[in-house]
Amino acid sequence: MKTYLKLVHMEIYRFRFILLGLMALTAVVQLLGMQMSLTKSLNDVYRRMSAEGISLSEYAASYSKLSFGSIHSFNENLMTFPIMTCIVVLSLYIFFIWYREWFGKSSFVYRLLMLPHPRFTLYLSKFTAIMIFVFSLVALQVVLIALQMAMYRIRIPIELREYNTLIQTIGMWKAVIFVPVRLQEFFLVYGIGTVFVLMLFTTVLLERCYRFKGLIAGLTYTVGTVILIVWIMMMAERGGYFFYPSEFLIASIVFMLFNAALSLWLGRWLLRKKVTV
Amino acid sequence: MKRYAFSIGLVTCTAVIMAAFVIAAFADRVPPYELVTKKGSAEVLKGFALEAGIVRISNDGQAEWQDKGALFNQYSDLVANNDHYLERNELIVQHRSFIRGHLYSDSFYKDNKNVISASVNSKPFVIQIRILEQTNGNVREIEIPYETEDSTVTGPNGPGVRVEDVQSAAGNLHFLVSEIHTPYSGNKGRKAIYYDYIVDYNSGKLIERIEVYRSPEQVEPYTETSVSLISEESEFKASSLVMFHIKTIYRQDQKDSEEGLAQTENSVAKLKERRIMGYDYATGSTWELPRQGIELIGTGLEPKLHGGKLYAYYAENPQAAVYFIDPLSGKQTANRLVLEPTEYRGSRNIMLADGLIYVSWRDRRVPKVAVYDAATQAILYRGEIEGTDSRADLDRLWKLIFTNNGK
Amino acid sequence: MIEISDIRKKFRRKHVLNGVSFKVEKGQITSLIGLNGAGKSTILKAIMGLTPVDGGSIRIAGQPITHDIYHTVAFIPDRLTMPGSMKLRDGLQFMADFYPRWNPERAEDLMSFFRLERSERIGRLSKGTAAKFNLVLGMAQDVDYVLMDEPFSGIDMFSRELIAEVFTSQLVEDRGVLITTHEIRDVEHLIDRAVLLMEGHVIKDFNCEEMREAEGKSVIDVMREVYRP
Repeated sequence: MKTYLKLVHMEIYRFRFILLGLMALTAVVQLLGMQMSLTKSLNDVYRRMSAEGISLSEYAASYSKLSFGSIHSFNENLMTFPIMTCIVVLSLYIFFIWYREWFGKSSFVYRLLMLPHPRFTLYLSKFTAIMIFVFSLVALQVVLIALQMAMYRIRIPIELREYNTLIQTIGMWKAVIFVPVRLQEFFLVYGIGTVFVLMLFTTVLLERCYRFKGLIAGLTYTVGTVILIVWIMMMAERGGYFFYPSEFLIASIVFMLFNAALSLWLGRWLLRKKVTV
Repeated sequence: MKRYAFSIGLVTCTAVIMAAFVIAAFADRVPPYELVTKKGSAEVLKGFALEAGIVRISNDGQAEWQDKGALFNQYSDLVANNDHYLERNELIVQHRSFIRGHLYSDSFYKDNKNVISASVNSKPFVIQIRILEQTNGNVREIEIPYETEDSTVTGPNGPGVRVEDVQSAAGNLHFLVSEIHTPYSGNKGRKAIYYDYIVDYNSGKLIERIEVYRSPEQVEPYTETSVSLISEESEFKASSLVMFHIKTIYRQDQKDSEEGLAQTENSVAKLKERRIMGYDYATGSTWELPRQGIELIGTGLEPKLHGGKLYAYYAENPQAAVYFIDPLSGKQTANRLVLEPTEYRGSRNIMLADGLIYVSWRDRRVPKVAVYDAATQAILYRGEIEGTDSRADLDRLWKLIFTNNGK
Repeated sequence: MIEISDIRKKFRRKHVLNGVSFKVEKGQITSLIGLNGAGKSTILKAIMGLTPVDGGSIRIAGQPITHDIYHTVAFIPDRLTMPGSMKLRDGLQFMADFYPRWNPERAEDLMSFFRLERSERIGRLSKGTAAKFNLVLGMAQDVDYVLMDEPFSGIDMFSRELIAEVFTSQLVEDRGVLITTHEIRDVEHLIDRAVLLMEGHVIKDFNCEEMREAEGKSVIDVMREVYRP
């Protein structure tokens, strides 16, 4: 257990600058974007007010209020750009977290594989690190939304405000898929993500053990699973099939669990028996 | 320990924030609204729910978020009993295996003895009927071939053929089938035919095919005949009759195009003629709704059929009333039922079910519900939506819709 | 005892190891000798579980290879095994963190002996210094066996002398040591056994002392016989 924790710490520590960089990027872009949207929306209101010569309360009576959602989605792409960046960087790091041990002047992989501890601890620690990175960014996003809501409350006069709780606000956001507010959704989204990470890990190990053939096998397995899941989901969405949508969903979940188990088992076996430096 | 400060800090902050998030989500899991009964028993609402945006309130007064996880709405196949989005839910719950794979059949019918679903398969056109005999659980499948008329104007799959209604009358099964030919553009060749396929219940054989309605040839320029079906409001309930609302519209584009019926913003539409035709399944006879009925409906009302009676109302107006019309004579069978005014246009919803009239509207920013007995016009139920805590904003519930909207 | 029995390994259609068998005993220094590409490094990696073998078996003290062997066997490869961004002291800390049998005092001694600077970055070390640090990492573990892959390759003469000194110290006395090397001249006087490899199997396996007494040949003499007939 202590070995596992120390390895997780090592992985987090190595990535800290990139992680902090991603966090800073997201915070700056989203908060600045919010600021810009607020200014623009308020300017529009004031302009209309002066054009029609009405006061704030008159405006509020005749026109619709400024909801958080409308202001927030004004610069929608700006808000989601850092999220996409984070996803890209983390996706690449799923591979790089392994490959960095092999490449470079020194081969840290020798040392890691020769630790007097089960090698699977290595696999789990890298996996844990990735999941911690993901959830730390999700947590950051929650905080940023809360901060944006605070900015909204500060700058928008009360006559124009529409009240929503934090959860409702997130729930109405276009990018809610990354911060699902319902329990089943959360598990589903991040469950699928987790299985995906595991499959990619095993793909990397397959490549390291069997080189090109391994890479093809791993990618086929991963891509094939994704296609299968998407196909099942599409059938569920279209409906009219013999199975009810909820049954398709259960089938998908069972399949993903099976894949997770397979990836873990295979990864462990590859690390123990077949990996080569 | 100081060495691990960064990792510990990161994990702790993440955990704390996520825990707070989970707690907040948990606190928000029920919408802050409830239905409060002011008069009568909420039993009349059993089987229905009220929807306003993403809030759904069921008859026990409890509210729930309708999005059910907006991302995965489609996977809730309505197995839960209290999900009243479609009347078909009840069927799924009660007859899960019978409905399996046939959830989206064209039309259903249900009474004490049978559950029937019907659909049309295209290419080749075949009416597929499945009958579940409730007494012994037998499932029968009947196939009746359907030949479409020749037509030069329809799309690659042929005309649209659909079972519009399933009824049981005089010991036989009746399937009202529509065959619609729609040209890609313009009006030439537009055709709508309605047949009643009468099937013997025991043998499953086609007894007779009656042509109930055929749209007239579109000869005059810029003139279109549109027909909409007025069938029983409760999809599965029995109805001895069905009606056709036939409108002849003259529509000329300002640009005087020869295609006719160019639906541009400059179109001028004029109603040339309105007919309402009735068809009785048991006798096979048709009749025209007499002029007084037509005129009444022509004042801007929408006709609805329920329990063999004809109702007419226009729910959108702030002031509205429900009219009761005899489908054969066109005369009003009772005084109109004047409804309470609603706060603004479009915020009223009316539903007819089980011989009752369900109305929802807004009264000075409070969403209200009333249920009337259609025969006596007595008010059986009154209810109001109230907020349960500070999150509530009744202005958001600007229209409550009864969810039992069938097809 | 490390027992290598009939191991085979194919690498891209070529049989690098074609049935190699020999033993490494405690208290002895064994040297694997062979031409370039003979598979010497591969054998060491195979013993350490760093590469799989296609056939045969490897047993350490009678046990097959699991992660537990890293308590008793240390490997000093011909390259650095720590990230270049780490400082030397971080590397030592890493070993202390993860190796229960890490001996910090001996590490101290060796660091002083080799005159290594703790605050230096691993990535910046010269080849000779890197080799010395590698030795520290390997020798400061309280293990029964030490494997070394080309400990002298590319090292300057003085560093070689230092490294060779380590061999004669008690560090090595009661352990089993397996080295591979080209520079047989540097270690000929140190090693106890010589295992000659050719074409994927063991051509000759002998005790150096006995060979000298019995046939009056040095290791190099035997090598000449075998590789340049």
